Parts: sequence; C-alpha cells; structure tokens
Amino acid sequence: MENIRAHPITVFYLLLRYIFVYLIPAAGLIISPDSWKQIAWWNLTLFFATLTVALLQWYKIRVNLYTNHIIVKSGILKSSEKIIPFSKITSIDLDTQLLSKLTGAKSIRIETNARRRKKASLSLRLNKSDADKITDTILGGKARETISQYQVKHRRLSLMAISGSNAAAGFLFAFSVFSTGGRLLGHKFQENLLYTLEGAALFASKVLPPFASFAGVLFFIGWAVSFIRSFSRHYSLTALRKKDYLVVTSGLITYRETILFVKSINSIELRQTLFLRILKQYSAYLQCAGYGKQKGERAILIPAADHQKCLEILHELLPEFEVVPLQFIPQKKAGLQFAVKPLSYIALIIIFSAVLIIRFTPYSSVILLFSAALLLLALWQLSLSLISFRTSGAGVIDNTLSLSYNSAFSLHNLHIPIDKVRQIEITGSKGNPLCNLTVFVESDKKTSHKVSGLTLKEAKKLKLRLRNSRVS
Amino acid sequence: MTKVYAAGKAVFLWETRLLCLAISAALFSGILLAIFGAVAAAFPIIAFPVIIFFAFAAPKYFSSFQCKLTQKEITIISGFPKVKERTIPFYCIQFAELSATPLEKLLKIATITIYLSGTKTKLHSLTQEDAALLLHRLKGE
Repeated sequence: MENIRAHPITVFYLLLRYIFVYLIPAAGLIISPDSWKQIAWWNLTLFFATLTVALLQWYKIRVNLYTNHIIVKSGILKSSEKIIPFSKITSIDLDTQLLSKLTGAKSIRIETNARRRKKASLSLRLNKSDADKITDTILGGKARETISQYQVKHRRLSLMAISGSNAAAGFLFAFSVFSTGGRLLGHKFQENLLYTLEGAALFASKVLPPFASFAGVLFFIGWAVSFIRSFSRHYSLTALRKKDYLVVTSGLITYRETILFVKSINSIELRQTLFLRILKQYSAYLQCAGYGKQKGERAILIPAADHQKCLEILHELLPEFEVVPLQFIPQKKAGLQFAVKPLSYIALIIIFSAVLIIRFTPYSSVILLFSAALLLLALWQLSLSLISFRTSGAGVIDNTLSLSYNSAFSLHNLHIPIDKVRQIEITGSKGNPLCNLTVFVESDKKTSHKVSGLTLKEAKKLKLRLRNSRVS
Repeated sequence: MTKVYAAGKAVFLWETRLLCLAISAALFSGILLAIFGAVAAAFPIIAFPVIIFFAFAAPKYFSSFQCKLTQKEITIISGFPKVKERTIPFYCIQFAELSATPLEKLLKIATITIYLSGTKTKLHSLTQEDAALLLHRLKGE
C-alpha cells in the first residue's frame, strides 16, 4: 500500500468554493456605503475562517493506493472513504493547467461507468510524480508500446472548430470574462471594450441597419471566442494506440492527457454538420465514460477527414470496432415525417412574426431581424432533415449495431458493440406501418438514439437479428 | 450463504436527528416571534406538524430497512408504507463510498453509498464492522 497526499494547490481550489461567503458582508455596502472598514474586517475574518477550513480539508485528504483498488479518505466532521476498484475504471484524465504547471501539480480525474453527469468518480490534485504513480499502478502490467499513432493537422482542427463553434456559448463565455475582468481590472477596462464594440458596430452600420450590425458584431465575437477556445483545447490532438488502451493528448495552454480503456469504449460515431457535409468531411467521436465530459471539451478523435480516411484511421486505432453498413433505411413514404417538424417551425415563425409586426409596428425592423435569424436556423434544420432522410437507417452485422440519424444540427452515424446496448424501443401509432426505433446504450452523455421512418416489419427484424447476435 | 444486516441503530439515529431538528425549529420560532410578533406564529404552526410526521414516519422507514448479502448480489429491502426490494449484482457496482457523520461516529455506525450505472443507493446505519466487511467484498478482493 502507498500513502499519497493531495498537492497544497488543492487549498486554493477549496477556497474558491467559499467565495460566495465574502459577498454576504459586501452586500452590506449597498445598505450603508460608509461602513466599508467594518466590512473589510468582516471579510478578513471570514477569509481566515475559510482558509482554516480549506487547510483542514486538504490535510484530511489521504490517498491509499493498493494493487487492485484505490481508497481516498476525506472530510473533517463527516468523514468519507471512497473505494474504486481498478477493474471498473473506464478512463483516466490528467491535465496540467497553468497554475498547476507553476506549482508542479497535476489534476487527475478517474472515471467509471457510474454516469455522474458533471462530477468525476474521483478527482484529485496531486504532485506530478504521485499522479504518474497512480496512473502507472492502474495501468499495471499492461503493454506500453505504441501500436499505431495519429496526429491531427492544424488545418483539419480549424475545420472542426469552424463548423462546431457555437456563437451563443462563446458569447456567454466572453460575457462572463468581460464582467469578471471588469470587476478585476476596473470599469475603465469595461468602458474601453464597450467603446471598441460600439466602434465596430458603427462601422458595420454604414452597410446594415444599426441593430442588425450590433447583433452581427456580438454574434461574430461569440463565434470567434468559441472558435479560439475549441482550437486551443484540441490543439495538437494526438492519439496513441497501446495494446489495451488509447492515449489521447491535446491542448495549447492546458495540456491534457486522457487514457481510455478500449473495453470501456461504448461506441464510435461519425458526425457531420451541414458545413462538413458540404465539404464532404466527417468527424469521429468516441463515447467512453469520462471522455469529453469537462466543460468545453469534446469526445473527439478525428476532427475532420473524408469518409475513406476516417475509416482507415479508425481501423488503425480501434480495429476491434467494426463499421457496419446500413441494412434498413427509411421508406419513401417516410419523407414527410422527416420534413414535417422543420416545416412546422418555419410556418410558426412566419405566423408569429407577422402577428408581432402587426401588433408592434414601430419595432418591425428588430422583429424582422430576429425572424430572419430563426428562419435561417429552421431552414438549416430542414436541409439536415432532408439529407438525413437519405442517410438514416440501421444495421446489425456480427457484434456491431449501426445507427444513422439526425439531431438538431448534425448527422450522426453510430457503431455500437452489441454488449453495450441496454434496451431497444419500437414506437408507432396504430394503423401506421412506420415506426421509430430507439436504442438505449451505456453512456454518461447521450444514452438514447432514435431512428425514424423504418417500417414495423424492418424494426422487428432488426430486433430479432440483435437478439440472435447476442445469443451467439 | 446469506448474511443479513439490519439497520438496528438507524431508528435511534433518526430519533436523535429529529430531536435536534425540533430543538432548532423551536429556537428559530422563538427568534422569529421575538422579532416579527404574532405573524411569525405561522412558522411553528407549519413546521411542527411536518416534524411530527417525520418523527412517526422516519423510524418506521428505517426499522423496515434490511440488507442481505449473498455471494453474487446485495438485496436491499426498504420503504414504508410501500416496501421496495432492490437486488444489485456485484458486477453492476462501479464504486462505493463509506461515510460517517459525527453522530454516526458516536453511535459507531456508518453509511455506504453504492454507485451503479446511472444511479446510486445508500445502505444506512450499518455497524462499522458490517460496513468494513461489506466494503471488503466491494473492493473485489
């Protein structure tokens, strides 16, 4: 047994949890702005109290490393002891943030199939050597030589970041940085930034209506922030295939290394956004508990490659996973089923905007702008649904189930080992020969996948094939 | 061989917890009455029936709690008035957590939380020896 202590940097992260405590006396400033001296004393007292608690919490963290399991003890008043057997570990995530790099610490996140949405099964900040020691013990006698390797080119990564960057998420991130930065650097910083934004919007307003130009500038900033985040997070993405596991490394500012045990990979997925579809490119994702779980991270393996190249890389890295062709595809009469949802969205947008323009005529330009943006999204979804009608379907060969369907803004093609399928559901209405096939799989993210437009006969045949494959 | 663990001290633990809750609710009501007068009487009128209900229901719930351990699975019987029986095969357990609050430590009991795929379940108020034995099984040793 080995005894390991958490890195002292843990105290800083524990202290961050109590940051809201300082806001209580600070709120007193609103009631009596002159009592800032008293409030400062209160905050100082609170700081030392929380520091004591954080120090005690850090002191109480003990990691005991055994040959086949790990035990982590923690807690001041309420003591707890977490026991994780190595056989249940699906992935190990090691990352070195800037602060950790300066202090010689490393974050280690150990994941199991416990499917906790945000929290890891075990998350610790340790000395670099201790984190490596734990990783080595978990990997045990597993062969370390690299069988195959794949490194992403920056051009391919840019394609993925361009197609997958979400303007809204980027804008929210930029807004939080702006407000926090403003608080830290003073109002002058916020004013300057606003002035620059206003300037950019004024420049654009020479060719566009004022509101549209301002919204456009905000949208572009959001998208650019999201692009930079995505690009820097997955910068220099490399996958190394060892005998029993896959090592994925990436990151520009924060270096991240994820070890994925091949037996724990629940499915592989080829994904296309409309943008990638136009360029005839695919992205490959891995569904494995813990991978792509952290904020802003994606469970990506291949950012962008043509279909043939994608299959070649996947075969090199994960030869255990078969890519199965579709055997059951939607019938011609199911076409309307695919188009009806986006078409109804389009109709609703037109009706609502017409009503709003009649009711609030002075704001018609703003309403028109919003309606146009929504209409664009609905048209985007309509084109994806129509493509999906041609590409959807399902298939089973040997031990792999293949599913192809579309979600809101992308096309998915999943290949799932049959032993990872948890449940199959066939839904439809009486008298209608068409049905929906929903497959529930083992995952800590999306657990259900729905293929529409199959005939009831086909769906039942697929279910039977799946059962036969399982039995054999 | 089947080993049965009954949460013997759980009833006492919950009675103590409820007593603490009742005392703090009474103190809080007193403070509210002193500050806001008759209007604050609404708080004890609402709070105490809730506490009385739990004082009746919680011991009943925990006295019906039972945990059976066999070679391959754990069976947990719990619930009042609706009884629920859950059987968890060992291979489904992802990891476990043993915890003890100060009051539990005083009574020399502990709680085990078992994390399964997508859900978790708690084994309440096991004696520390029983909890250690059960954990030994969960470690996969």
